[in-house]
Amino acid sequence: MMKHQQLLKFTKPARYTGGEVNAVEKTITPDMTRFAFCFPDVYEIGMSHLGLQILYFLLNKRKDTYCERVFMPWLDMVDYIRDTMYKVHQSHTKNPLFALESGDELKKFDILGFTLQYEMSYTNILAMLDLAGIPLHSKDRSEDYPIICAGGPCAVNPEPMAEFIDFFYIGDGEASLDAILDCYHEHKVKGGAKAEFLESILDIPGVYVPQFYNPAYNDDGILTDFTPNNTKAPATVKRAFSPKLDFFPETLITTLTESVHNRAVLELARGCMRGCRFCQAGYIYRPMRERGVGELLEQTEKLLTATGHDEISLLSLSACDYSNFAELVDKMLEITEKERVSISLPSTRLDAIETLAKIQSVRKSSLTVAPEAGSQRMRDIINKNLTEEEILEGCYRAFLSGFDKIKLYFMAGLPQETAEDIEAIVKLCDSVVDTYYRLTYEERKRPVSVSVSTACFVPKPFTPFQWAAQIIPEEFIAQQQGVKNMIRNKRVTYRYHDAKTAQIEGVIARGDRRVGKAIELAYKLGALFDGWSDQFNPFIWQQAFEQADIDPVFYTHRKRPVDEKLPWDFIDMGISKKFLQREWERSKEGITTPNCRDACAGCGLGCRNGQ
Amino acid sequence: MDNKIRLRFSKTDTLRFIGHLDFLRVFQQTIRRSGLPIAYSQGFNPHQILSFALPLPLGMESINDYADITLTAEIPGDEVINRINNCVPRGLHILAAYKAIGQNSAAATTAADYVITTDIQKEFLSETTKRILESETLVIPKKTKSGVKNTDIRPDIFDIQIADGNLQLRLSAGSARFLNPLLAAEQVIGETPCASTVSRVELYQSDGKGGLLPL
Repeated sequence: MMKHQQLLKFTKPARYTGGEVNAVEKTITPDMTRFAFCFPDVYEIGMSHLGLQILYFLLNKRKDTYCERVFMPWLDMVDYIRDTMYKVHQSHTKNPLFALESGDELKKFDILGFTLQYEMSYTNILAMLDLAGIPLHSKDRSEDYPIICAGGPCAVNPEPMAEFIDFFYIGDGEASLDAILDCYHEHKVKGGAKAEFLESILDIPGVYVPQFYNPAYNDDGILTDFTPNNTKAPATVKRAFSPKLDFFPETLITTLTESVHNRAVLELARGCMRGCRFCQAGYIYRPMRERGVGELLEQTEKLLTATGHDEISLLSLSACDYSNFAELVDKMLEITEKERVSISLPSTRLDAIETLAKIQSVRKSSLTVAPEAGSQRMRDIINKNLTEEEILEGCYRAFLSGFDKIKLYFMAGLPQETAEDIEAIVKLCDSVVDTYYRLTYEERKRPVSVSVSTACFVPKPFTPFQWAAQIIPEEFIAQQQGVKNMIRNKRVTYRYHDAKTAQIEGVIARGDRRVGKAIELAYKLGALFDGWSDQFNPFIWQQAFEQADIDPVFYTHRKRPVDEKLPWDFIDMGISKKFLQREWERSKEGITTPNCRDACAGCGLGCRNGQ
Repeated sequence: MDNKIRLRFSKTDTLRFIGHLDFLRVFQQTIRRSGLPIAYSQGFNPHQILSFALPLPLGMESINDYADITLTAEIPGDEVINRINNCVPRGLHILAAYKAIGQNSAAATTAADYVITTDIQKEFLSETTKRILESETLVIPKKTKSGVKNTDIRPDIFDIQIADGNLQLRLSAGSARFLNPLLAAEQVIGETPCASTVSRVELYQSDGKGGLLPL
């Protein structure tokens, strides 16, 4: 553990102290499996992540396991750790990266588990290993080093990180983590080589051990073969899946300092029934699995009592799609009003405006709506089943119920996009402003504010757009300038995402094993916190790609033929490739597909077998 | 109906690393977890009726600190202590709870005791202490909002003592006059000590007869 005097020299020292309410304290015994949950971004971001909290309490439920937390330290501490580790000091002790609960350095742990939330956090993962004094490459780590695993949404294409990670975990954490820890415990008691343990977990759903597989490429650089080199390794890795969401922590760690989202979080459902063709989460978490109203209300009471939070957030990919949304909200309000707690929703569809207005009865802040595309043609291509009429009617009802700030999210660079589709974004914003003036003078309390943002579309694995070509940064920038120039209305403000970041995200998202070299080079050239716009340096990445002989065009600006072998094809996410292909074809014709509740699209999961 | 309770508490360990606003939130959440019937203010954005005697600078610990809360029901002091201590974060501990009479703690506070650990030689400390205590004035450049100003801090130094190698300071503290303990310590030690070496050990109010009484 670092000395108090030293800690005070860093910005926000409370990031590194632990000791929060509900953090788990255990007596460490030699036979205990020590697991470090590693979040490759700063404390206040990591602590706002519900997945961390779920897995932390899931793992700590086990008597034979102690799960602690590690976050990416901020740059001032990075410098300090590097200084004490690599430079020769006469009296300084080494201070490698440590876990919050025990203050112990990471080398003392049995397993480090990284969460892959975002491609742009990969250099931070390498930094965390490095700061812990652990070799980056799996093959360079002797038996003395911990086992390094990784999971989370980006693990559905694990290949870019394959050289660094001993095993990946793909799918719902609740499903097979226990089985893995059972195996590890047995291995720890029995003793033996790491490889033996890795072999022992190969038949557990969701486990992928990259060292047991060999990729092969043709002269064009296209993947031609991906086969196991170990007889025990399955040719196809099935995702881990919990048909029912039956675990939820009854408590949450409550931070001592302000985190990004300082509130209790309630997961209403996992998965989404919509099938928007650009959205990876909408496919990899299928089918939509809901928790019951009674269970959620019980959790609400427990969480509020355990944390003392005065805000509770309803988390789901599309909260308004929760079957009994109105009933749930009404019953929750009975609890929350009594306890002076407010309810919040991350983003919403427009179908439930009245319920939303009820939730935000006290502070009617802004409403976030994601039409994703400006024109109807484009919304049909991406299967965002939302018409302009519905958007404007929803906004009108929102204005009537007292909202006067609306955030509109769009994507630029979608497949088959034309200049008209981009113009339509601006037109739609103008129409939203006009809608506000449908209110009477008395009803308009304040001037309306419409803030619009465009994200750069990045095609992702396991979506119908996994074959699509991403547009190049220069095109994104031209589009953004175009939108900027077209916006004439003073009530509309415009923000946009960084185009260069999107390119790198694109290369990694659909990258293969060779991309890992570029990630490593970027790290060695100084890339850190690439997801932070003020830290991101595109020139480092350009250099890294050149040195690693990686051509971004090959990985992300090229339309891939549907018969090309994709680096993530060996993973079975439940949905069939045929279905994705069908959706890709339908998108080209602008044909929409109904949501799962209205009609089964036969995605391959077999919930209703196309009925 | 006014159940104004004064809480005496300690804020130590990792809590020294959180600032006043964060600590306020931690305290509010702790009260919510305790289930105590705290009173809320009226108005658009109701908040708990809770106030602290004196903010503690980041990095320091406090052995005896004070906060006033108003409850909507009569609850015995012991029960208040137990209910809060059952759900405190590491480093927060309620030591006493009693009826608060008169001014609230923030308005009443006039002085504070600090203990500062230092490895500077005792002889040196004794000498500077003697010099400061014997002088009528101690004018030092002090940073203010409008730049650096020469200020006489001597009236805010009530006492300085050296005991067990520690520096003990009694300084004015409160909304009317306040002397930063780091600044005072610098005059004795010759360098600004690290905030983590400072422990605030008591807060005082005037006893009305020229003396001091703990809150």
